[in-house]
Amino acid sequence: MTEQAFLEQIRANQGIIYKLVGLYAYDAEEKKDLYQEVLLQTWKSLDSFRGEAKFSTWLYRICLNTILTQKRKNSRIDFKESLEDLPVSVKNISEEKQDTIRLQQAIRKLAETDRAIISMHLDGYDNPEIAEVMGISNNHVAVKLHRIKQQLANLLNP
Amino acid sequence: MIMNINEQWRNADEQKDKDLEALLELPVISKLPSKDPVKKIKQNLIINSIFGIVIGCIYIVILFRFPFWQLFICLGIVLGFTIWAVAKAFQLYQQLESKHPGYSVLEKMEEHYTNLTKFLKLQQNVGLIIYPISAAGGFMLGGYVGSGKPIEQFMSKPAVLIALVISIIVLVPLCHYFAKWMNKKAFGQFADVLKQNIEMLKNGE
Repeated sequence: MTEQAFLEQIRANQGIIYKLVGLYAYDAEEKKDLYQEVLLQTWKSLDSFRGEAKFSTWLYRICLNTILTQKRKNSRIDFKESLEDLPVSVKNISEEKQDTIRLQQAIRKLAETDRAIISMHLDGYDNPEIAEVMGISNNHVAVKLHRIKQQLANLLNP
Repeated sequence: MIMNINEQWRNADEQKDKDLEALLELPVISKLPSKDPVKKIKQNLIINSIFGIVIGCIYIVILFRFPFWQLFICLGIVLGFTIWAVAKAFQLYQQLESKHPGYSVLEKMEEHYTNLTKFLKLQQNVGLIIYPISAAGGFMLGGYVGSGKPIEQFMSKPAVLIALVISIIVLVPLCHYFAKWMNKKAFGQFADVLKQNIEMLKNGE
C-alpha cells in the first residue's frame, strides 16, 4: 500500500481511532500521544495487512492492541460528576450530542477491556469477530456483552 | 434502549477532532520515537549492558592496580555477576520479540506482561547480588586508600570487620528493596493494569 493509499484509508476510518483514543485517554495530551502511537504502529504494521479482513477491522485490532498495551497516565477514569452533570459548555449543545457525550462517559466508566468489547459491538461487529480480535471465545463475548449492557443501562438510566 | 445507544454511538462517528486531524502527517509520525513498552525495555537492556561492560572494565583495572586477594575475591565475584547480568540482559533482549499488532488483544497483553516481569526480575536480582558485594569491595578499597595501610592490617581491626558485616547486612535488603521500589515506580502501575486487564478478559472463560 502506498503512503497516499494508507492516508486515504486512515482518513476514511479515522472515526474508529478518534472514538477509541477518546475512550481511553486521560486528558487531551494523552489523546494526542495515543493517536500518534496508533498511527505509527498502523504504518509500521502495514505489511501484516493482507486484505483478508476489512481495513477497518484490522485498524480496530491495531488500535486496541496499541492502546491496551501502552503505559498510560491513569488506567481508570473516575468522573467526579455523575453522568447527568455535564459542563455548562456542553449543556448548550443539542440534546442528541449531549446523549452521545453521556454514552461516551458511561462507557469510560467500564473496565478497560469491556470498553473495547462494547465499542466493537456498537460498531456493528458480530460476536465471532469480537472474539477473534479480543482472543476469547464466542460464548464469553456473549456473556460479557450481556453484563456490559446491563451496566450501561444502569449508568444511563439510574 | 440498545437502539438508542446505537444511534448515540453513530453520532459519535460524526464528531470530528480538529486537534487530532492536524496530526495526520505521515512524514512526522513515521519519525516519532515509538512508545511501545517492549522497545523501551529493549532500550533499557542495552543501556544496562553498556553500563555493565564499562563497570566490568573498571573492575579489571582496579584488580590490576590494587592486587590484594581480599579485593580480588570481592571484585572477582562482582565481575562474575556483572558478566552474568550482561549475558542475561543479552539473552532477554533476544527473547523480546514484539509480535506484530495483528495478534489478539489478550495475546498482546500477555506477551507484554511476561516480558515486563522477566525484565523486572532481572533488575531485582542484579540489585540483590551485585550492589552489596560491590559495596564490600569498595569498603575495603576505600579503607586501604584512606588509611594508607595494607588491607590485612586495615581489616584486622574488629570494629572494621563489624562495620563491614553491618554494612552488608544493611545493604543487601536495602538494595533489593530499592531496586523493587524503582521498578514499581517505573513499571509497577503499568504491570498492575496489564495483569488486571488480562484477568478481567479471562474472567468467566
